Amino acid sequence: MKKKRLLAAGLAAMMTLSLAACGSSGGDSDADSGSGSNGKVKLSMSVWNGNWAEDLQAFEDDFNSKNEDIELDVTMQTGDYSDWLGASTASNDLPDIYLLTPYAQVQSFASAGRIMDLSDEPFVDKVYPQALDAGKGADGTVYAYPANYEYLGVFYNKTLFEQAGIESVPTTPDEFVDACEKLQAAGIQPLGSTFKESWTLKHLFSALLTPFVQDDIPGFIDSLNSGKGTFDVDGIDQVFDFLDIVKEYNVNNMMDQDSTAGYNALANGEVAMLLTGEFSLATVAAADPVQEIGVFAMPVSSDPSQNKLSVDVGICYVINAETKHPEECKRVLEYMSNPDEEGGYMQLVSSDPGDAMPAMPFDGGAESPARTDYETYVDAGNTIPWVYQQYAAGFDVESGDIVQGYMSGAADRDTIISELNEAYQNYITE
Amino acid sequence: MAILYKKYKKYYYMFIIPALLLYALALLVPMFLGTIPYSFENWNLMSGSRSFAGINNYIKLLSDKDFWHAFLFNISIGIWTIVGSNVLGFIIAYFLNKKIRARGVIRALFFIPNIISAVLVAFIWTFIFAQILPNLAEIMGWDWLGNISWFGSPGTASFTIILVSIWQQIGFLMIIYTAGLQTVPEELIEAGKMDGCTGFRLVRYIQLPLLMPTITINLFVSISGAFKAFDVPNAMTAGGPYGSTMTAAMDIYQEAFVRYNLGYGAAKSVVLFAAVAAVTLIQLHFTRKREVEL
Repeated sequence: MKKKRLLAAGLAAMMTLSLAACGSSGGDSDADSGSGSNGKVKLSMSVWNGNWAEDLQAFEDDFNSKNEDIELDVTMQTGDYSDWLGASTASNDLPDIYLLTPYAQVQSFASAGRIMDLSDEPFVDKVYPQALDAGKGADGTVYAYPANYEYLGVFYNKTLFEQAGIESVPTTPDEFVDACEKLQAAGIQPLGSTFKESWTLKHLFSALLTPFVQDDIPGFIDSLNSGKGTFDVDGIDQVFDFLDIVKEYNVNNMMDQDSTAGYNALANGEVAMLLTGEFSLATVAAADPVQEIGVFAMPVSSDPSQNKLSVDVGICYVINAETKHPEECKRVLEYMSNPDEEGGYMQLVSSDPGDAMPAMPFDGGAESPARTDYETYVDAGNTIPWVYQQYAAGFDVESGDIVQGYMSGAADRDTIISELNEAYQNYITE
Repeated sequence: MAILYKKYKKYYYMFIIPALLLYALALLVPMFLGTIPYSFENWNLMSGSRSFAGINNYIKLLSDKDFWHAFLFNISIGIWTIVGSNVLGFIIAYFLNKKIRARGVIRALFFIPNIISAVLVAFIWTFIFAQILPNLAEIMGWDWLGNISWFGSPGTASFTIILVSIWQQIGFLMIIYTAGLQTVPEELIEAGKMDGCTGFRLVRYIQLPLLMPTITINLFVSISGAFKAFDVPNAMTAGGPYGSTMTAAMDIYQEAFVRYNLGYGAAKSVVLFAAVAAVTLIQLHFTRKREVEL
């Protein structure tokens, strides 16, 4: 009897173990799919989840109707994409075409020989030159199609700025404080928050740090990856000074505000500014009345020429190096990267407010005052990348958690800097 | 008893085998062929590099302060959650065991949180803490309430997790306690009352001792649940602020699927498993000893 009890207790407790045990399962095994019975070449494509299921279906239908010899099957992974990616990689079960995050992930897949060299594809001449970097391997060869440009900045309510008598957008921290003071004097809440969710702080910290390392991002990243680098760069004090301003003019209990609450506050005109990305515009467009929201570069540096809009590639499409149909896969990418394709991928995924625009000159897509501002920055070449996307894979998540410590007042600047430095060591793979 | 057992033995097995098979397939096989062997490997999912690591993962774990911090956090919220949900679950079950109107409906209402998905539960409570309470504070002029940042400090964030976990688990424990209370023979209660044992003493000296088998089950469920805590904390705070509300299961998840160190993540889950097994075995040993046979 006693043995049985031991067994029963043991068995039940084992349930806790199932967490990391799923490494060898999961994933659609479509990479080795051949020709279908109808003579068509079957291609599988996986993307992460988002509010684009309908667009993807329309894209799949449109592509298949225009290409009679190919049957493209687009799957939106419903769970966590990075789980799925890890599991499919481990079991060598990757589809023909799939999404990766730019820079670090593309580089790691490229050096493992998992993805195809795409340097001769038509998109290479179409996308913005800076965007191409996001899809390059460590050797400088293009391995991925950088499909969109996302942007981070200070999203601001133009009407409320006018009411407060602010004539031009602030370009330095001092002007930013002035603007906050004017808004407060006019009875307007200057800033909103999304800081309950640490990923928004990963974005913010990256957008504030990048201006100070913009001249030599590869050098900064290399030094971090060599284990000798530090976040204690010239200008880091200005980053924390700016965070202090953000704290001072923020809403009460800002650490309780998640992204939904933050977007709503911006969309409903409750706050004049939110430090966020273009993805917040979907909420803005859904509000009634729709506020006139523009965007400007985060004025973190006292030297205004350093402050540029944070614009970078959000998603990269890659082709499985082991696909049996490389030519057909390349045709899919060509179709996806063609801005003139009527009813094609690019037009579909950029048609809603809040959608990111393609990383190339493009006339279609949803219009908004913020997009107009964004294009002014892009056309002037007044942009900087998102440095967090180049950190060693995985560190970006932890950087947000650590910076949350500063925002919540749990740690001071020196602690934050040394924790960032220490944590980075855990992500360096020799 | 013994004769009946022999007679129906094959039926017992017939009932057990399907569940056991599923259980073995879904849990035992992955564990013995997956997790435990992986824990001795250096396996990075992204780079695909894989090599035998011996016990290096376990040695590294000894000095991994993030994991132990998460583990201690499990214990600290665990104690509150286990005690809170069991005590409240019992109290509710006790009063709903009396003849009051609409007690079926009330029981159902208490049980509902248990069947709502944890993500939804967390969403509702986040809304209550972050939007409703501050608005209420403003209307009532309660500055002390309005100034509490529920997710802004480790203490208050832990409190929200404990509260929501208790709220979510209470219904399940209540149902088990209710079932247990109904097995206590009426004549024992009557006899106790005649001998002058009423009110709290009746609960303490007659009902609780007879409920020991139920308490064993409930403690087992809530202790193992506390160590496995993942969904509610993940959806409520995602480990924030500043990683202070990260549970061991969340840390394992991050290790395996954010840092992609599958081998090291597996080692962490083996350790967590051993800890849960040890704690629950000790608990079973002590509570079983106090069970009384009728």
